[in-house]
Amino acid sequence: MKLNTQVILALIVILGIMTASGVTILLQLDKLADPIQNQIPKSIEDLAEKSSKDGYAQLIRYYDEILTQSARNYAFTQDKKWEERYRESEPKLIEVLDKAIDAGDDLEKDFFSQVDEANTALVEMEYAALDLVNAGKASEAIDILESQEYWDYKNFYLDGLNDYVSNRGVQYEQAIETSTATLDDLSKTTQVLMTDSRNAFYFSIPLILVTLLIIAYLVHRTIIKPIRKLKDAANSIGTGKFDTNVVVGGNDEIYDLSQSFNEMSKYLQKYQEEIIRRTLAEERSRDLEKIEVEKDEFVAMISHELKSPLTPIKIYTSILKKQKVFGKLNQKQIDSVNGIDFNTFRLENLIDDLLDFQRLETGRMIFKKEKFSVNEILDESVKEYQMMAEEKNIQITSKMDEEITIFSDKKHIEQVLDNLARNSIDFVPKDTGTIQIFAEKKDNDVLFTIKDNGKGILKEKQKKLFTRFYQADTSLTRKHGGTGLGLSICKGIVEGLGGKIWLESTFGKGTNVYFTIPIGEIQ
Amino acid sequence: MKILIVDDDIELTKAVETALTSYDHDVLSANDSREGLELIKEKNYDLIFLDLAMPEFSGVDIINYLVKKGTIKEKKIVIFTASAINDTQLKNLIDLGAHSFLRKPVDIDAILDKIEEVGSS
Repeated sequence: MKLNTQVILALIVILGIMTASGVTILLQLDKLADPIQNQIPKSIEDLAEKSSKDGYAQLIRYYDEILTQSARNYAFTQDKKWEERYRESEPKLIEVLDKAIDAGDDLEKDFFSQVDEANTALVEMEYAALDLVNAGKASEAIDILESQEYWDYKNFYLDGLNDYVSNRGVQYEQAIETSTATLDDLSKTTQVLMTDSRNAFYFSIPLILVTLLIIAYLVHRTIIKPIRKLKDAANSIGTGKFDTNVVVGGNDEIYDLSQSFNEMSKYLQKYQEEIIRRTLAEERSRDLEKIEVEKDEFVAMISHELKSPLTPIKIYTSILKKQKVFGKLNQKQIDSVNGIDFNTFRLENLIDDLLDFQRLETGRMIFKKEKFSVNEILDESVKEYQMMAEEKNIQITSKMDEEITIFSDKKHIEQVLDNLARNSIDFVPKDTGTIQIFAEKKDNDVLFTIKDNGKGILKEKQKKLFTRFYQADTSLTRKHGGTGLGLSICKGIVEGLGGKIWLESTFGKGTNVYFTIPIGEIQ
Repeated sequence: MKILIVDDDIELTKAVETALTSYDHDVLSANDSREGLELIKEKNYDLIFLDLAMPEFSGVDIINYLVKKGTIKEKKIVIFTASAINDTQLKNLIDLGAHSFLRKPVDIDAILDKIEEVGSS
């Protein structure tokens, strides 16, 4: 589950709990609405109504008393003001009675009707008494007012009122009881409401706490723990352990992060390995370069040092060979001196080859170009080998169809020709050997060819021939003092002068060695 | 002839001495440049074989000294060198007044020829 989904879920849960407790409290509050809005005002109204009816009873009693007293006082005193008062008050009593009958319930109507009936009888009697007084018959009037009938009505009337009043009392009591009960109910409801709200509050708090704990645990498990793991892993990578891997479960962003992290550490590891590999390779190549330089210096130094003893040896052997200075030598002594001389020559050649090779390898070979005739150097080299050719009874000739002059390094071209010619002399058979040297113009080059009828070179050996230290026939090395560097030196010189060297050979038939030298700019 | 050979290779000077005394030459040798310079300053020779590469100071330094003294021509210096020095450098030294050069390794004939060449010049 994604983290935002988790957060939204947690919020929904908390919101749900809070809503539930809120709704519970609202529902409880709702219970208060009815008593407050309806029941209490109603009972108050009830009470007010009941008390207004009591007022009627009091007024009726009051006016009744006024009427009785006024009638009696008039009968006794014949004072007109009492008659007046009576006549004023009588309609008021009727009015109050009518109101009381209107307002009252059935039972109360009965009471008031009874009162009204008695009242009507009493009023009739009292008006009769008033009339008698006015007729001057006051004693008769007093008789009426003190008659049994009058007092019966009076009692009947008062009984009715008393009944009413006592009934009112009962009802009033009931109304108060009802109000009290309503208020009690309200108080109870409030109590319940408070308890319920408190309960809801007490209930929701642990629920929210538990939810928060669960969320905290989940946050710990799904965020904090993996982040700690990632932190540790990052520290580990920081110390150079690029093979650090983080294992995080789930399917959220932290998991994605851990995957990216692992990917990163994988790349870092690869990168580190690559850097180590490169550093090692660089070190190795630096070492090799250093070794190469040291080797070159060593070869140069050792060649020079090896050359030093050659001069004294040559001086001693040459003077010995003269015989006239140090005296005559016998044949064995002559042979020995000749042997020393030849081996000195071998050694000198070896050292020269080594020096040439080292110069070519390090690019320190100096080529000095000059204008010269190719025909001349070919003639000279053939002349030089004539003695050797005669010894071996072989033919060595040169052939050129035209005069060729080139601008190149004469000394080094002679060295190449010398090397190749000597090789051929070594390889051709005694008595039947022939060596031909040609030179001809080919575009901007001179193509030299050294052709012999020697035993030839096997195909697989041909390619290696120009690589250093390779010799097709190692036995010749001992015999002729070769280093195996000859052909690679030739290759180095020819290429250094801008030409190419190659050979064609058929095993058992002979070898053609070719090389080209650019004619160069001739003024 | 009166010949001086200056070369740090004792074996070489010994061989040249042995060979040339047999040909009745008066040979003196010095095996370091300081001794060589002293001998050059001290006496006159018909020919001086001078090695170039020597410790302390070289044959080139000796030539330069003689150039300064203005006696280079009369000293008949034959540069006796191994292949470490190139032709251009040799040519410069001859332009300065050295007589000629001889490349090692040499045999007695080359030395005798050179002596004859200098003697006849």
